[in-house]
Amino acid sequence: MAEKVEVFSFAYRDFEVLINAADYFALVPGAECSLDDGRSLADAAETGLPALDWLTAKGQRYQACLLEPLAARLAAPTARLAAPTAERSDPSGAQPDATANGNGGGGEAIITCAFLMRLEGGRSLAVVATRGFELKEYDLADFRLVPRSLRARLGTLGLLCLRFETDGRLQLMLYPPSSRFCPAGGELK
Amino acid sequence: MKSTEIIDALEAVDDDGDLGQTQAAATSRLFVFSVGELLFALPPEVIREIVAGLEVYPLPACPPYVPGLINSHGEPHTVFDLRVLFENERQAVDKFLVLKLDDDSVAFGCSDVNEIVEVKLSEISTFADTEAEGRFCSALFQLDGRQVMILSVSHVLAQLEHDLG
Repeated sequence: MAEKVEVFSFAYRDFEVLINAADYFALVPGAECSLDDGRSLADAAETGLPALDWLTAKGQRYQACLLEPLAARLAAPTARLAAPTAERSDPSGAQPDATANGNGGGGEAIITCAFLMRLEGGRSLAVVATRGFELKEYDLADFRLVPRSLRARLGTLGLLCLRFETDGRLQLMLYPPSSRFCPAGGELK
Repeated sequence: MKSTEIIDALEAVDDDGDLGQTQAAATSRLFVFSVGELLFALPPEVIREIVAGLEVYPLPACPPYVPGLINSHGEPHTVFDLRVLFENERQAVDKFLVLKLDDDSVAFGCSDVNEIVEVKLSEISTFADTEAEGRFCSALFQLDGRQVMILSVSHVLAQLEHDLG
């Protein structure tokens, strides 16, 4: 039987960002997270989610990073050959998992959730998503490494591997801690 | 005959510039393709296949001569825009030469595939009159009055490795 990989899929521009569900030990609705200044993640999202440093979830503090800027680093708009395609207004029509939606999935509310993970060295990271996602499962055999000539550079962005969806879309597997743009990645803040 | 073998043969040229009798009669088979107005050649044995009509997926943090990657039979291949390397201009292409490399997956975008030609070694020159030609070509020859550059794949890949380093 083929080995499966369970991923969270976020539509972003004309590709998808995948993050491996196995990397995170908990998925917390935004309403159950609070920033150091006391605001909830859902409240912060209403005002555009300014820089996140630390948040508290499940009684523990986590260094936080936003998923969307990490995804934007993978968008490469300047490298495009054809005219840029419009950003999808709705990610594949996907509805967020109600358990991950701090706003209960209602109306125009901004969706937030935090993926919690523990890193080596005792650090903890919360990857905050402000967009809907789908939980998907793929065969491990369908994933491909980035060509060797690009692997080192893209690895610093947190791009682990990729997959071509049957409809032709590109799916990029992101591992936030290995991105130098992620606080837990250690380089930039 | 591989490019390196061509170079070896040319380096064996006598000091007075003449090829030996055997070398003068020898020929090399080369696959000629165009990228815009530029003509390039590669030994046929380094080309795995020619594919057309594939979408180029842009990737981040790549230099301008790497517009992204293509999906050829489910495998991602780094795409090079050779015109950017040589003329610093983008070239829209609809064909790709997928190379046969041991440890990498690479494709060169091309406007047209021309022909396989037999070129006498005596007609191949290592003279390169521009910086780009000198850096990315192993040799030159004339075909119907036009200059054809024999690409050095290893030098092109070395440039990318340098730029991404």
